[in-house]
Amino acid sequence: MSDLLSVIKSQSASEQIAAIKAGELDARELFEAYRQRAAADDLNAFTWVSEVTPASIPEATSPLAGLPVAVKDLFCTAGVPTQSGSKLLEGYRPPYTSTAVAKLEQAGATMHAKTNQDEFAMGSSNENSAFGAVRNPWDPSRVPGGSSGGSAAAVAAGHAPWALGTDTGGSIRQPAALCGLVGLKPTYGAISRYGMIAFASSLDQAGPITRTVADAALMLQHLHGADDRDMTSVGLREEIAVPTRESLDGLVIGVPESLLAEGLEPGVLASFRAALAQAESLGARLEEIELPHAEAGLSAYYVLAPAEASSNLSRFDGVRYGNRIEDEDGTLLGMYTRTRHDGFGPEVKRRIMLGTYALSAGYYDAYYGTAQRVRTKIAGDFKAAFDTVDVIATPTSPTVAWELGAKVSDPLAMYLSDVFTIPMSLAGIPGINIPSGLSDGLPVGLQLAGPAFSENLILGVAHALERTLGFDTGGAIR
Amino acid sequence: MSAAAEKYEVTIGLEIHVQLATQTKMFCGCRTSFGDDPNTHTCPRCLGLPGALPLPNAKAVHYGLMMGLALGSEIAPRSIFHRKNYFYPDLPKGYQISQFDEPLCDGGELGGVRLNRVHLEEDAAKLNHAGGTGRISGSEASVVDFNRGGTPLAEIVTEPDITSAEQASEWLRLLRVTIRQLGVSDVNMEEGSLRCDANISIRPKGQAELGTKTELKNMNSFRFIERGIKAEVARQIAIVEGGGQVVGETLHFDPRTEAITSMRSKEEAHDYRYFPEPDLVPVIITPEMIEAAKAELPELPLQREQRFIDLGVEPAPPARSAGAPSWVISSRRPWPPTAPSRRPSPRSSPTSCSSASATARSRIRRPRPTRSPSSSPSSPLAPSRAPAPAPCSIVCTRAGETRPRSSRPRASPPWVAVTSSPRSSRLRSTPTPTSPRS
Repeated sequence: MSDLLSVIKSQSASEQIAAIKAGELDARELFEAYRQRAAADDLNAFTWVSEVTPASIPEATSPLAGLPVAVKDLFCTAGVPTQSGSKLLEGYRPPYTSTAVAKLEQAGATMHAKTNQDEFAMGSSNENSAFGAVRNPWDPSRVPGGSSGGSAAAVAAGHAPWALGTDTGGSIRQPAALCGLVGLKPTYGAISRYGMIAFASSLDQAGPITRTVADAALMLQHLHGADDRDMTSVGLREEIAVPTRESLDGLVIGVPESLLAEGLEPGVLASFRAALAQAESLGARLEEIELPHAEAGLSAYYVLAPAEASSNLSRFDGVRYGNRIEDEDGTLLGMYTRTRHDGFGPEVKRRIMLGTYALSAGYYDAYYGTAQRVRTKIAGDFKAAFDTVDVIATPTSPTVAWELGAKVSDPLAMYLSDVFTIPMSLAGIPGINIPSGLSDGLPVGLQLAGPAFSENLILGVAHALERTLGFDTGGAIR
Repeated sequence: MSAAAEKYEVTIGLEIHVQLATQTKMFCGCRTSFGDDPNTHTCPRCLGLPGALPLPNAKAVHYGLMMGLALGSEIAPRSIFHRKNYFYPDLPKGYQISQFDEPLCDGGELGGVRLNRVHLEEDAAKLNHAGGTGRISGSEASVVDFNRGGTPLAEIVTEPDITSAEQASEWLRLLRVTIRQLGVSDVNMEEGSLRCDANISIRPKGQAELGTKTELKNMNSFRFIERGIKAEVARQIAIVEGGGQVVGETLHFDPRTEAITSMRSKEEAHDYRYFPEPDLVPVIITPEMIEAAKAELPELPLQREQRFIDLGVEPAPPARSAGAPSWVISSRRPWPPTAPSRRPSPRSSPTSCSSASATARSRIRRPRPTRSPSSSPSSPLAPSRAPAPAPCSIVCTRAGETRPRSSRPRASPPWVAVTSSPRSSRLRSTPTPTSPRS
């Protein structure tokens, strides 16, 4: 098993798949190794771990060769608990499997575990889970980020070679940044949302959390596509290539300097500048750009996302599934209120109330309507920016991982963690995090964003930078 | 009419729900049904399971177009679905997917009554209250049958052009035979494929401003509609004559006792928090879709009536009491119960569709329509076999920077952004087997 440990520590998912195909690695042994590591996980990164290694693992000839994948808990997986981090869904086993997971399994991946997350994907620290907070493998007294904190912690700790997460306002990119990994949120509509327990329908997207950019590209290849079952899915316009780019000659990188003026930890800013300098050394040219409405994005997001969530979460009423809690008075209203009061955590309730208010009569135009108009402006800012630059670079998170409990009593401070990732979500454009370095021993992430459907471009740029930056994504694996 | 009643004018608007006779539900592939074992036609979508997403039924849109064209509505080139949010056990998602300010069909007119709109939505599930009388109060427990949930509905809303209970039930009969003739619904009140609520107000004769209106529900036959509206008008007159004020509320009509009871008070009035459905892209109606709908329009009852009059057919004596309009007769002759024939039914001989007597016509007030029916068929269609229906395809577009201009600009969601090619294959016009394991 110890030689498997060195494989786990040093090889990316793509390399492990290649090794399986070359007969150097046994897929069942590898699955068992990851399964045991997940079962022994002390970071609370998992909500379900397979109790057995399947009798038959997909053939080495299948594209993903039977490699295990950890799946965020909100993806419906038939017969396997799908709880979305919530007590209300504790023990819920869906009768069907989400498209994203089904596609990975069709390609030969095998799910060995489901990962912990902020409840209903609402959070930036994975402290909002009904199943307890997740710890950051780089420093277990700190948060891994959220809402896909379990997925990120699992990969960074070597308990999964790669993982599937979701991103609504930054929930793939930010935990990837805090855990020193690659995290991609594709263009809205690239991947089917069928079977993804919804948070904010117009923002949610599935995406990979991986050790390398090539891994992210490989998973994306097998995830994207228009799905008959999701009207909002269109797939990607071109085939995803395994990135090989090495030079950034001729590339223009836009930097929204005015957004970097305050709120950034000095170590994060320094790492960001250093990464940009590396990009220049590869031939890129930096250009300052303006995203005038990006700052309003945070407010717009925290109106729109809760508004959609307040409606999406109405189905959790205890009538047909989930944990129903009757009230002593035996009334329907009593059942609704008891079930939802006891079943939802405080952040979820906070957002449902915010969203209900924003949609209510007399306030719709002032809040929801205005937020949608801000959203259109932000999309317009990006379009204008991409007339002059090819990609946009920002730090992914304004800070490195903070201590567990440090921000729980200040929701607004928590919301600020997403200030750089939210505008891309609102505009529906893709964004990728790559680790740019360490600050005080904790990972810092760089975000690259491109126009809609420019995944090949940003994957290529990210790959080139990744080579130069040379960050060890296995640094926290023991 | 009583002396008191003669002092008042009555204003009635009707809200009609028609279950469309599609093979599958509005937003999923489950079969539509009536009377089958409970919860045997369900799937993750119509059960509101986590992660399920809706898929519009192309046939339902086609039927909606047929109705809009037959009723003289303006067909919106682009319409969107909205979520209507409220909690009830017969509403599995906690919201109904409906249409709000951008409906499929705008305006229209039938038999002298103007229409406000025709739009598409999904039906709620069926609640059964066990113990007691079958009504919710006095029952011991309630159970839900989700077979009905998700059935496509067309909602037709009239303008408040109706002025009497008799006119309301007569006009509803005309609407029913018209829709029956279209073949888009069984429009059977006993089975629930035709449902009608009435909005009723009174005002002193001569007063221009309308009085406070109430909504009267649970009238599930033409007779009950007439009696219910009469009872509510009498109730309102009694209140006003007694010096009181009519409270705007939702009322329940009990046909056995003719009692009218309040269902919801103002304090419990629902705020539905309508917002555009983010899981669906806008419905774009192409000229091809309109042509396909037009091609399936048969000769409609009023058109047939006019055609016979033009041919010089003698009107038969009215079937009911004097003054009953001619097209009431068709309700006494069973139309083909299943899919319509587009040839004249052998049972409907010319004498059965007598021309309307002058008396009958004068009872139907025909105010000047505010918009001319722009999309109705231009000439009476000969009753001939309709050509095979053209394929139904819905172009699902995401409008981009060049968002199509609608006559009523709304803050539409920005994800309605990019034109893409038609994806007719994605929209269900043929049934798929019901399977919870899809």
